Amino acid sequence: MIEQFHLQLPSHTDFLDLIRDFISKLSDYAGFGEEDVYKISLAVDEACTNVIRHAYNEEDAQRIDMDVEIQAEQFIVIVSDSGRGFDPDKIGEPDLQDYIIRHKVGGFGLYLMKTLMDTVEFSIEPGVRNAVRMVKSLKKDLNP
Amino acid sequence: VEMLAQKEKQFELKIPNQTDNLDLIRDFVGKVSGKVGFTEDDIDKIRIAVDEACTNVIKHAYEQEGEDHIGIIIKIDYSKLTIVVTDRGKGFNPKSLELPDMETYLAELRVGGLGIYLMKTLMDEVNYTIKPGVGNEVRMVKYLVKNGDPTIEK
Repeated sequence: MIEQFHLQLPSHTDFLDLIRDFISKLSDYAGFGEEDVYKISLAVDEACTNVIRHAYNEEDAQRIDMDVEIQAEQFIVIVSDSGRGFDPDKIGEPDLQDYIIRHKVGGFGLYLMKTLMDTVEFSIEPGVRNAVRMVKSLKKDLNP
Repeated sequence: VEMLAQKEKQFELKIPNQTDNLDLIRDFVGKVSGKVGFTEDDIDKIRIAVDEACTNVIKHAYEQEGEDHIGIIIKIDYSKLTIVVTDRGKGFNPKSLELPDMETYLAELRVGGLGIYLMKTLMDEVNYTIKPGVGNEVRMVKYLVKNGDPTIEK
């Protein structure tokens, strides 16, 4: 059975803990182990932080939408916004050395999300709907 | 809390109508209430009232668990928290549950009468809009009464 959940909340970092809690509970419910629950929550937190900081430029009157779909073998999270969007192809692999030295030059969030999840895809329509779709497979044999 | 006091904020949650998900709802509502500045006691009351409203939807509005969704909208501003629980199930007549007649009341207990009584005790306002199969909603309000602030009345 496919189960669908939706959450919409104000774009403000004050509410990131609500998002992490929501995602942790759902991924735990889906059957992921503690480590994967943490990875998924972190990836979603990162996606939402990007929306708050970059898509909406810290304007807290905006909304973030989150759709979660729990399937038999997959956990899918789509984080969407109607902010200014970006070109994912122009954000390459981050230079980790540069990242450490200059502290936060961008690009690290996407790299992190891709490392934590199995697939990360973007669909960008600036001002209309920008979405990041992240998928994590449930490896049942590892989670008895 | 300071930031929240400035203007109205809205949260929406839509989840399958399953008892398994009540925990998720209670937690979410409790956390949002905590951010507005409600006391632990009031947070508990709000959580129980919302749990009750959602249990009614799961048990009575829909035929079976997981067939549809429960919607929860939370609005917060400087003085109050408003929670609207919605469903697209069969609905009921709230008037029939307000009759003082004990026999009727007890008969209605089985279809959620106690839950409604409980919700009214826990929250400051409880109102219904019933449109069977289209959209039913229970709207509950809890005022944020600040210590020593006479300008906010219940």
